[in-house]
Amino acid sequence: MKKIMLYPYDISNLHLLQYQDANAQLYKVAYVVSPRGWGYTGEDAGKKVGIETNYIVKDQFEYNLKKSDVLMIIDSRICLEDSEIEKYIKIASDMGKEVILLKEINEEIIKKYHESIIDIRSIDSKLKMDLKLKEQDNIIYDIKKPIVLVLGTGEQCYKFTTQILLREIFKANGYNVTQIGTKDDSYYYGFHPFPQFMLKNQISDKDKIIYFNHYVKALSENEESDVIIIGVPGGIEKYDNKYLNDFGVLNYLVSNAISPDFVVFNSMYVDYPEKYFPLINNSLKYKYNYALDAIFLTNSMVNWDATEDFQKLVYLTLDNNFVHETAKQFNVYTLFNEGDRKRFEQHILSTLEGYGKYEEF
Amino acid sequence: MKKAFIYTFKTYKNYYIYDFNTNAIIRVEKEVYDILNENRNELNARVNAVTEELQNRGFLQSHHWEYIEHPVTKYIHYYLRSSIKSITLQVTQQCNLRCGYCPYSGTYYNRKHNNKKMDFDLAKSIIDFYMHHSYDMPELQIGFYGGEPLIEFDLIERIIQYVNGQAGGKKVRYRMTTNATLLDKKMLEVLAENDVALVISLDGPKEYHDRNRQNVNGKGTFDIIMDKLDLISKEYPQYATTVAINCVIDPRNNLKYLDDFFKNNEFMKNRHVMFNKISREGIKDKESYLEDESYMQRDLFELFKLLYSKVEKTEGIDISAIPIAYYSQLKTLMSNRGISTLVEKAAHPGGPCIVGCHKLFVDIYGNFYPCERVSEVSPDMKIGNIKDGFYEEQVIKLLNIGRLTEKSCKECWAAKFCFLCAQHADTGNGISIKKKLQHCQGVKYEAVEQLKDYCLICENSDFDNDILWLDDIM
Repeated sequence: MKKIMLYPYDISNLHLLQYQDANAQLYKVAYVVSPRGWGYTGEDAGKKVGIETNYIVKDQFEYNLKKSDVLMIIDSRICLEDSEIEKYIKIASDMGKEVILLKEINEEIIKKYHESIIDIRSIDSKLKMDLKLKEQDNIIYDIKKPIVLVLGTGEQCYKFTTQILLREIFKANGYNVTQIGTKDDSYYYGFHPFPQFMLKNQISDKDKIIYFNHYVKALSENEESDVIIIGVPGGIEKYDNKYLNDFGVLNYLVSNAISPDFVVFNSMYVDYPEKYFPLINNSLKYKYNYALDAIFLTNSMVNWDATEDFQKLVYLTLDNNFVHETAKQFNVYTLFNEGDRKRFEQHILSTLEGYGKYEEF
Repeated sequence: MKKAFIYTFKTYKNYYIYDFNTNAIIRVEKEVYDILNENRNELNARVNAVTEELQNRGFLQSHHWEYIEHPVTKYIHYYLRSSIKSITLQVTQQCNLRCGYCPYSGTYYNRKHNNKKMDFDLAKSIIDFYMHHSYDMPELQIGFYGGEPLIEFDLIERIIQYVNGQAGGKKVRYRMTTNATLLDKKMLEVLAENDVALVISLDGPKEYHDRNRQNVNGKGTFDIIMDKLDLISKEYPQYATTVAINCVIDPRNNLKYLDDFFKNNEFMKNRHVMFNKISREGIKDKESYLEDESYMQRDLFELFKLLYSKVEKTEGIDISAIPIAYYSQLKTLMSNRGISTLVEKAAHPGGPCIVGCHKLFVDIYGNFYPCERVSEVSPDMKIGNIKDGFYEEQVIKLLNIGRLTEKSCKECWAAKFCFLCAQHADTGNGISIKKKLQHCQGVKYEAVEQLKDYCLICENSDFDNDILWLDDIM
């Protein structure tokens, strides 16, 4: 088993420490490193949300890399320049270490260091299938397998954590899963990241909807899955007239392509959940004819004061106990509470198994 | 009908209601205005129809906040541990000038100039504290303050090197306000290389500047500063374009003459010039630098010319740069104010920033203050120190300064326009109800002027506006 050093760590990568079973035979995270100026050094990697991971965040890059086998470059909230990332890849390469990239970088850099960089896309050969979508095939297929849809208020609301949690639940209960995730980290966990064709301007919205439907169907058939989990990047609607969240267009496309059987919503922490949750539920119900089945109240809230100053969305990280207290009042789940996870597991399994009793023809 | 929580006002053309609960401005007919203004219950079918319609649409509610609480209060623990936006380091308490209006000159309830300076190890621990308490922020923002910060330039350079070595890809923005008299080529090289946003204090033409900004021997500093500005332009022409000027206006000054200086001076052209009045917060002698009737008239005349030019779009009016900030602030204030029919159970008057996070000021001893503008000798302004961290209870107290005058604030129609923070309630010995209440009349006066100016501009130009025209509502 190879020892991984994560860099540059921040709280948006907590899932890489919490969920390691998928790659347990190949890899284990050994060191978590973050630039000192990011404010994580010297404390548990989960402390910002009030949980223990038993990893203490370090700031000495080379010292910890020497003790590791693999440098894993991760996608953090602070976006490092490609030139900066290349510097770290070069250090790893010079030390004879392997590199895993969970962040998109310039192809030229990947080519330059191809001997060191591991292509994690080939971890599971089944993912290499070539889907030949026929453009003239203008129909939407009814997908018979249960579909779980993971939505969120926006970026940074831990949607990916929910997606891995779902994967773990279904796998642990013996189900075969087809999964499309919101981040490139999906490759590392052995599933598909959100397909690039959904982001291309050259393809019409109508075609994207049809392609996505065909894509999901083909994946599910190819992988002989019992359940399909789809994470939708971004948010479901605009925050306000300035922060538009791409108007939730991706969810519009996905929600027209498939019909979910269970919808999970990762909510930003908000001041008025009693007003916000019904608002979101109604919005989805009237737009797409589905309702929310489960809500995770997450540890992020928008810091509007800083957002105004920096002219981009800035978030405030909250402690899990604080979030859990609110979640209890509204009978919703939190991501870092064991009791909540168990309750959620029972909820989703009993709901979907209940649907399975009555097969639709 | 219960008394609606509104404020009525008129421009020379129209009649308006400012509706507190929704924060909306609604133009109404004179008839409606008269009745609402006098809060009369009159049998008038037309007026009754209008008020009923407005009520149906969520306006004219009688609701008042039940209690005062800043919306950030319940999250302040998390803000303080993760979201310090900006920090200002007092690198020295010494200054090489003795400006008459300086808060540290002895004319204010504050500390006085002295030879004490910040130690590098302390500076490092403050930077470490800041980095550890700003992990949710996309950038670091560090200011250098004094006294005159350039006196301790070596320290500043070491701090910059230290921060740059630790930031790890996080953008760092530095800033410094200086009298520039000590600036040399070596310093400029460091400042330009690190994109330090420089604000240089210059009070206008020589006779105005030298009247207040003098060295310890009483000699004016205008000529030195002009030489330094030349040096910046010559050595770092690109960097020179980013340098801003801070001009403090002495009420004795002729505003036209002051404005002409900045318009005609070669260096000042296309430069960002900030005009500020002499601060009266914490001043001991209430008579010094007092704005008399004649100054206020001149000030208002400049504003009038600006507004007239916007309204009539008349060319050839000599518009002063001095009131321009008011115009842009008015636009921002009004367009950001948010209109909602959501009833707020509790809230806080406008004014306080997120204490401790917005612009944390740290003195040479490592004591924390909300910003550099507060009195360093007032015990209530101290919100923590580098050893103990933040005093959260004190932060909450200053964040919720409106609780000091809760009854008045809950009754005040101008609470959402209020600009009072803890500084305005501070006597130099601590915060006081009486001191805070002294400002309330001024807040209301300014709110009325802002509402009228905004509506006046909207009535006559294409200034983006959100005034609700009653015709549209009906």
